[in-house]
Amino acid sequence: MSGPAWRRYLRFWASDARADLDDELRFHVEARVDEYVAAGMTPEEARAATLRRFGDVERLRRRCEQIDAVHERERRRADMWHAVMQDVRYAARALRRSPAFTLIAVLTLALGIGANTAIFSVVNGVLLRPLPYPEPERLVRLFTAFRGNGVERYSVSQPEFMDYKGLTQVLENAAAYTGAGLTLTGGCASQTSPCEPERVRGIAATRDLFPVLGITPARGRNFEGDEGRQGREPVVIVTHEFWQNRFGGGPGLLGRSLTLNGIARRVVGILPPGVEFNRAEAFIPIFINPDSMTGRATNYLSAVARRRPNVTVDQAQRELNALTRRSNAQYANVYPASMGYGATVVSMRDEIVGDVRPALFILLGAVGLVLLIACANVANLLLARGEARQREIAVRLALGATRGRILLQLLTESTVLALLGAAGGVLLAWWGMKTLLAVNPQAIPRLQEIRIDGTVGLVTLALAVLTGMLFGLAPAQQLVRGELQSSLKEGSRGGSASGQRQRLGRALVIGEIALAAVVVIGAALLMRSFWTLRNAAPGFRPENVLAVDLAVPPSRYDPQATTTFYQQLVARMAALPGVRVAAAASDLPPVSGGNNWDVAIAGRTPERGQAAPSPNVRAVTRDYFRVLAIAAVRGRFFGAQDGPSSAPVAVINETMAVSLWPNADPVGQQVRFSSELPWITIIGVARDVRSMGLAEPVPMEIFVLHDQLPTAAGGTERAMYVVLRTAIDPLSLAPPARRAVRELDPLIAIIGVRSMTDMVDLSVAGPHFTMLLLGVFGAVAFTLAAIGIYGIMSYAVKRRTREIGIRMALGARPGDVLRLVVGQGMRLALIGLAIGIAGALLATRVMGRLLYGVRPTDPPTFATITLLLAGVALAASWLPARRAVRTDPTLALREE
Amino acid sequence: MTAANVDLLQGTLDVLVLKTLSWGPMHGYGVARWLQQVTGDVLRIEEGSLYPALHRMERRGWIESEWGLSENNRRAKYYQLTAEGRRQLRAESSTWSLFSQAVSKVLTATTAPA
Repeated sequence: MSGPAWRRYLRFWASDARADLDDELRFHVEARVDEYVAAGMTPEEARAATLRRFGDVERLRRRCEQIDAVHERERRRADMWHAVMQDVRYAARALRRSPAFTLIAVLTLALGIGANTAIFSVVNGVLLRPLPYPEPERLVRLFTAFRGNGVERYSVSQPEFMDYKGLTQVLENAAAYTGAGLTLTGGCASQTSPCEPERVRGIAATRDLFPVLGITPARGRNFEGDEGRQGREPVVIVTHEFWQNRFGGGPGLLGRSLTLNGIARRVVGILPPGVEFNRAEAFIPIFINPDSMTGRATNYLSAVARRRPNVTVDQAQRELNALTRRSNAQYANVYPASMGYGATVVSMRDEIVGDVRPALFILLGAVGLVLLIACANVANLLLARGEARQREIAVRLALGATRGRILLQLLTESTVLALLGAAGGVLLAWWGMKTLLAVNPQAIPRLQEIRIDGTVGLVTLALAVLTGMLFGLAPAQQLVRGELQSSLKEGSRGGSASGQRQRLGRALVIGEIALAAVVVIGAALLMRSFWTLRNAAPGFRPENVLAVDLAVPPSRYDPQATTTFYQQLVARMAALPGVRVAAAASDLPPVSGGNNWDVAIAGRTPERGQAAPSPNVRAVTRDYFRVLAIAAVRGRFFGAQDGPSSAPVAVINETMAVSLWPNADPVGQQVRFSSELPWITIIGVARDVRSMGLAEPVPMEIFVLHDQLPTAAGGTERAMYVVLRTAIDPLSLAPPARRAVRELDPLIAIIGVRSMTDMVDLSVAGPHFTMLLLGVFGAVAFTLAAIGIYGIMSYAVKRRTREIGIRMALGARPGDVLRLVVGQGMRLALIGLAIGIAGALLATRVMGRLLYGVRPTDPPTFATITLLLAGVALAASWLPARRAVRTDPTLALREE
Repeated sequence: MTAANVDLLQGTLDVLVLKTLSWGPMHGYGVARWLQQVTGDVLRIEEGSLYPALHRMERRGWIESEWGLSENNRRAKYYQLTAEGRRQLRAESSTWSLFSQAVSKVLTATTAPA
């Protein structure tokens, strides 16, 4: 319903709707009675006849009232909408009249709101949106813990997994899995044999994995029975995406045989589109025989479980604690008391995103502060603009508009500004996120789930409205509170209203400096921390090293063939032009896995209840230390005299040397991995390398020659990195290195070829991402605050031009005036800085976990940023003041 | 008072009121009287039921109301057609005549069903 706009004013005089209805009906009855009386009836008869003819008055009246009530509601809604639209049109006109102001305000708000939209979209995608499984809150990860060694989350062994799975009173179901690198050689899409070997990300899982996750294959079936057991037909389940990308989604994949790691496996299931788990493309079954529970100390499985409904994580944890207490008593030989065997249950979401949570919340805080600074800037712009609009407002007040009505009008204007800013902000966020994710795609988990969706849009909208109120309310109140009389009088300069306005301006300066101090100090701390981290001596030289990641299939490579293969490959690589030295290693810093083996030390008997030392075992070839340029601290590294037929030898790192032989020379000491295996003589100590991450402590490490593994460790390592130290750009050697592998065995797929500098960069991608974002927000905060402070200060000085002119005319020297103005500005700046430093001290305390090598209270950072912001405030008050004292006093007196 | 008692369908009452108001602004009593005169009291409308119809049509924007003085100087609510109401009247009248023609064709038919 939309009548002419003036119609609603009619109702200013409208009386009570109920009385109107009574009048209307009474008129009808009385007129009819009059007519009947005139026709000769007695009044009583006339009345009775009328009512008979009219019907049930009460019932009809009620129906009319209902209709009127609905009508009234609709009318009121239409009026409100009309008023809002009128205000919006008025606001749009007012903003169009001052395009410069509008542009600056919208840009400022776009920066502030855009930063919030971007970070909220990350928080929403990573932290808030549920995992893509049914009832995801019931999914948990189970870990074995060795609390005596400070390890909370460790892999699970088969018997341990069966123990945990048996807690059916708290767990509905549980599954175990482990990563499995698969090489696809037969059954590939082309069907021409032999086809290019392809690397497939695989997972080996017990048959309960999909039921636990709540996934049902879209085609075919889940694993069933004892599939995965030795002797059963090998099968595989693939993802929809694997089917689409590698086989074009054509029919006939189901039931076809794929050769994976040299074993022909029949495809029995295809998962629904978009369903994934740990980014795996293919799943092969593992079978855990509940009747043969050996290998309690062989921890290699990951475990995921579904809680029973109404069972909390804490309850599950309590059950696990009770269980592991029993196990400690029952298997004392496997779990020495000092190890502190236990188990940990964590919700799956926490496990996936746990590490990024603090960083994201800090970023969210930072963008909040940036938005506040943006608000302060726009509030100041509105204040300055209010000066010009004072007469307009005064006229409207004089014409009878209520203050509330004008306040609403002004707030509509600021909300329109904020909405425009939000539109710009969403664009900015979209573009910014795209850029950032392109720069740094692996920085945080679930990154592929980040998008600007309905939720983000809604939050942005709410934020925009809130922002509009925030920066609009104070200036608008200033305007309508202004003295009507004084504003109307031409040339009145500064009544009480302008005094209030100055107070508000001063508060804005203090607030902006304080907020900027918090954000910029936080950003600076993080940058310093990243700088320290990136420059932390890793213990090796990653420059000019190429790493080729590959694995040979156990089906065709026994330990002897594996040894030979890697020896030949390293020799071929070393012969490539541009290669200085080549070697192979089972793990590479700075992102090595943990492959801990217990060792016994010759001449020492382990104390009862004391866990054996458990260093990380790294299989390497002879020249490994030369390729990575790792220095020897004692003894010697591997040489030509060490080989498959000579006595087993090992090199250990400094940490292991100091931990196990604090007072003796480890060179010449002997260790072994089990009583059936030979003693291994330690021949040298290598400098510590940050192998588990640049910010992580160095573990004990023992290096064993790859070709001595069969004798020294009773096995081999089939997945190795081949590393080349090059004389030229390492990546230029990637094609010849690939060729060398293909020439030796065309069926081996290379997992990856990367330079080690890339690997180091990747290992700090998360901190880098946070640092980059906070750095950008710090810069935005700094720029906005600088512009804002300058704007407020120069505006304040401009208002005082007349006063300055009088002072100058009365003989004040420019220096005195300059000192006066700058001094007043600096006083505000110092108050702001004091508040800001206090705020930063509070805020940076939560950053402790993100900082590496820098304390949250780092004095140089605080001092530098304080000086920087003080400098900005100084410039912001000095520049306009200098301009003011240079103005001709006679001109200055006429100012305003 | 022995005239045929015809029950009116709701939509029919609406179109009768709209037609009545097409002569000019009128209060509810006037509408009732005019309908009584024109139909020769054949359509015995329960007079009170005019009012919910009037209020409903006002809500729909077909008519609008204004307080005024009646012929004998009493305060009365006058209803008036809006442009929308006129459109509605035209549409309803043509529907009605199509309907009544169809009905009378059936009732005056001279050929038996084949």
